[in-house]
Amino acid sequence: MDFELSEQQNLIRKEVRKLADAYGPEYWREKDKKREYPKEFVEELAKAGWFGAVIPEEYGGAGLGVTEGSIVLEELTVSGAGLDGSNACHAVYFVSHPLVKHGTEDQKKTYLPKIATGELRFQALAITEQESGFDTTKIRTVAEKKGNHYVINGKKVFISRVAQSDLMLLVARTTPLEKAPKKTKGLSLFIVDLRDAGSSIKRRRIDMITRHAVDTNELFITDLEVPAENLLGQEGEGLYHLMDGLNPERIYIASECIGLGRLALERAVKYAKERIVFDRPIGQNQGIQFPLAEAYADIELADLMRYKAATLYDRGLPCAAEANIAKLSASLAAFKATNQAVQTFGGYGLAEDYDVERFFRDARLMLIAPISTEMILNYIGEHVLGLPRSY
Amino acid sequence: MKGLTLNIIVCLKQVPDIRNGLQIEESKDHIREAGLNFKINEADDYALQEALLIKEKFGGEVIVISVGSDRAREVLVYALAKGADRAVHVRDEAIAGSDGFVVAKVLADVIRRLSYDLILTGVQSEDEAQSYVGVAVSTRLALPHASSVTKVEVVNAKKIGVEREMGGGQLEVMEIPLPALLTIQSGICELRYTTLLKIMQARKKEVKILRAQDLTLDRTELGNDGSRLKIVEIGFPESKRGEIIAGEPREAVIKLIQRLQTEAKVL
Repeated sequence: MDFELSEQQNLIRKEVRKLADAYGPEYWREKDKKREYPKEFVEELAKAGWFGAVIPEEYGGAGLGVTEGSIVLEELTVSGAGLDGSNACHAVYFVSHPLVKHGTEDQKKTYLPKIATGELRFQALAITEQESGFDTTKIRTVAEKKGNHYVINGKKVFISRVAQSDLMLLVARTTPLEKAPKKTKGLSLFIVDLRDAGSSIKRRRIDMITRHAVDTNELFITDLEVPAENLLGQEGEGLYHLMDGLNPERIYIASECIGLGRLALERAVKYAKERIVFDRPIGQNQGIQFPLAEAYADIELADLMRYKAATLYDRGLPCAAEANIAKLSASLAAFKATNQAVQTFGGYGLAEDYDVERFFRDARLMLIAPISTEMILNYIGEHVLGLPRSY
Repeated sequence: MKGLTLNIIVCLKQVPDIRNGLQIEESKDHIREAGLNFKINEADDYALQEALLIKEKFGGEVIVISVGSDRAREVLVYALAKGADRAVHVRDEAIAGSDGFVVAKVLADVIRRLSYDLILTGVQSEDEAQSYVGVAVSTRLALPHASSVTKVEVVNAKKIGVEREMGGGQLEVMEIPLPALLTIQSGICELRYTTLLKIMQARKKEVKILRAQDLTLDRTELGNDGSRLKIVEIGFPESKRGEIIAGEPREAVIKLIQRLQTEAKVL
């Protein structure tokens, strides 16, 4: 068991942080306030090669593992950007995953090198629908094959970065639920070129209390024609292809939560040392000090599980339990840390100029997305503990 | 300048990162290293960046050298990831505890075997701030040198122009024949972060390790034995606390003026 990062991992941590540090608190406050995508930040990241981190070398990437990818996302978050920064581009790491694993050679050669350089933005993932929620088998978006293309109709909700993407990965039913051999069969993945979609996809931005700089949308899809060669993987096996990518996604999200928690704690601890009330720093009071210490301990524990899950994944070993526990514990730790940061700052904690309210809003999202705390507990109960399925 | 290439050697030192404070060991002759992070000396980082900018413009090879413990390898790997071509790490227990004079001897001993046009070092290290290792290297190699350099301009294959800081905020412009050694002032150029591609390329670059037996120096010339300086004690100067003069602004300013006149006697 080795708890040290490698030379290369340390370098990655320091250099990506150096890039992110150039974007100070004012930049992020403005982006959040104006609900504006951090275009400059994302473009600089792409230019420095960070989009290609986990894309295989033969397709123009660096061929790094989930461990390194998670370090990048943690540093982007902890730099002060919060989720406005990391979530502006994190999907390039996990949306590319099914393409790497299940794409045809042609698809990989066409898309991956350009995704690695940032020339093509593949960072929208359209799964969720209003009626189905987390029960993806019940989605109502359908894709019907007509000649050499599919025609897609349906609605999607909570789809991020659509305005900032060239390509979107979309899940649709190709076999109706009632005709599918199993409810998990009959779903397929499609690479949708948003640049060609025209009025077939209408987008409505949903204003959320969280992650203002990153757009979240409702999509209305009408007679969208997608060439048959844009089917990703096997027809009808889409849900299984997607599930292959869930563990990396959990690990990436855990690392962002860890970054967010550390960021909030760093600010809160500094404030607790400097803020004098009743003639002493407020951090001298156990009422302030203990919750900060607890939050710190929680983050460190979650971080251990993040690295365990990432190491297992990169070694090709099963890691579903660890990846789920990492996401669960990291999101809870981030919520505790950001909540306590707000409490430490008192009234200022709710003022936009002090940033911690933004981190708190960000952390709230992570208890729900991309998978809720309850669904992870369901997973642990059923698949790890062997208890009867509860839903 | 067509056809002009410069081979540049950059000397790098790893220093403790003391942004979050530091503690002194009970023996009082060195700082407590446990729990500290280490980083490249800031002025050396600028020297490296300047070397890489010259390389970008004219071509040639950038070789980085560090004398230090196993841990110092980090700064060499960093330099390779920034774009340096190869690295030399002089590390041996026999060198531990060396003063700047010994480090300069070791560096000169290594540099003599290499082909170079220019040597860059940082103007001083953040930890010891003695500012003499670079100059001592140039003396041992009988090279011309300029210190506190704030601008480098390559004139031709035989000479370079430099601007250097002088006392009283003055600037001195000089021309120096090559090969030469320059100690580089922080801020000479803009530090760049490196790209992922360069980090990946660094894996294939060489960090050559030299031990005490690989040097032409006798063991008695190294480490504590060879050092002329002995650190007796390090500590913090007694800090004078600031004071906030309370009260309404008008009254507070009056009090401040009175005290500047009567206590500080500066008005």
